[in-house]
Amino acid sequence: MRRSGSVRAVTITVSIMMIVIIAVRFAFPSVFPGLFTAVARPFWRVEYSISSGQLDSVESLLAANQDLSRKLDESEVRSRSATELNSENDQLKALMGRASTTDRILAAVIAKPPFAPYDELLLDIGSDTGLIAGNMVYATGMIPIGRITDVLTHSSKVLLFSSPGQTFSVQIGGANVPATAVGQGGGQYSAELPRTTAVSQGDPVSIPSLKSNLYGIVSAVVSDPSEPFETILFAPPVNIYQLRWVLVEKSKHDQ
Amino acid sequence: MLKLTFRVIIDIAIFLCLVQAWWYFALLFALIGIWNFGFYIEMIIAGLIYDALYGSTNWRDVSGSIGLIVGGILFIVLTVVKKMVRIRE
Repeated sequence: MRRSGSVRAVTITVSIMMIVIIAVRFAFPSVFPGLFTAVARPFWRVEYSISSGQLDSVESLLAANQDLSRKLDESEVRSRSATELNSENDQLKALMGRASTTDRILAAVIAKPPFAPYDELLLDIGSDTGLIAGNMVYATGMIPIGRITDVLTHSSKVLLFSSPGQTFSVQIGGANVPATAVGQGGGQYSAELPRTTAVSQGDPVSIPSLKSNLYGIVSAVVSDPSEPFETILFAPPVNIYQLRWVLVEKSKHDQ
Repeated sequence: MLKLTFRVIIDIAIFLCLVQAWWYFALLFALIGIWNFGFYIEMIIAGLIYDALYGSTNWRDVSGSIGLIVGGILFIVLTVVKKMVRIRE
C-alpha cells in the first residue's frame, strides 16, 4: 500500500513537472533553447578550438608555419618551371616553323570546320612567312589534308581535300587500286570502284604523287549487287575538327 | 557523501554527453543514475536539455519534445521497477 502510494506520488510529481515544462515551452519557445545553448556554447567553443588547432603548442604552430612556407616555395619553383617550359615551347615552335630552317612551317589552326565555312581551315601564318597559294598542308603524321588557296599577310586559307566536289587521284587498298576520290565534306571522301576489286574496311588510301603518304582509311564499302560498281567511303586518320596545328610545305622555289 | 559525489560525476558525464550529442551514452549514464539513486530527476532534465539543444522549437513538433517524453516515461517505469524488485529502499 505504501509502495503504491510512493509510486503514485512520483508519477504525479513527474507528470506535473512535464506539464509545467511543456507549458513553458508553449508560452516561451525560446527560453529553454536559449538557456541551455548559452550553457553549452563554451564547451562547443573549446571543442572547436581543439579540433581546429587553436590550442596547439607554439612549437607545433611554428612547425606548421614552416611546412606551409616550404610548400609555398615549392609551388613558386614549379610555377617558374612552367613559365620556363612555356618560353621554351614558344622558342621551339619558332625554330620549327617561323625560322624557316625547314621546308615545312608549323601553323596554328585559328578556325576550322564547322565554324569555318566551305570546309576550310584558317591558319595564323601568311605571306610574311613565304607561303604561296598551292602549298600542301599536312596534319599530324604527315597526312595531306589540303592546299593553301588564299594567302594574306598574316593568315591564309586552306581548302581541304574533303571539300565537296574536290576530286583527287588516290590508290586504295594493298593492291593500290587507282581511283578518283571525291570530297564529301567534313573530312569524308568517296570513290567508285568495280565490285570485283578486293577492298575492305580498314584498307589504307594513299596519293601516289605525294610520296605515298597515307591519305585515309577505308571506313565503309557500300555494295549493291545490282550495280557493277561499289562505293568506297574513307576518311583521314585524323579528325579535322580537332586539329590545332598543321604543317605547311613550302614550295622548293621559296627556299 | 560518497554517493552524492558519484551522483554529481554521473550528472556531469550526462551533461557532457548531451553537449556532444551522444544521447546513447547520456541515456546509459542516466539509467545508471536512476538505478542507483533515489528520485533521479536529472533524467527528465537531461531530456529537456537534449530537446533544448537539438530539438525543434516549434511546440507542435513532437520530435522537439522526444527527450522530455522519453526521460519522463523511463523515470516513471524504472521507479516502478525499482520498487518491485527491491525488498526495501
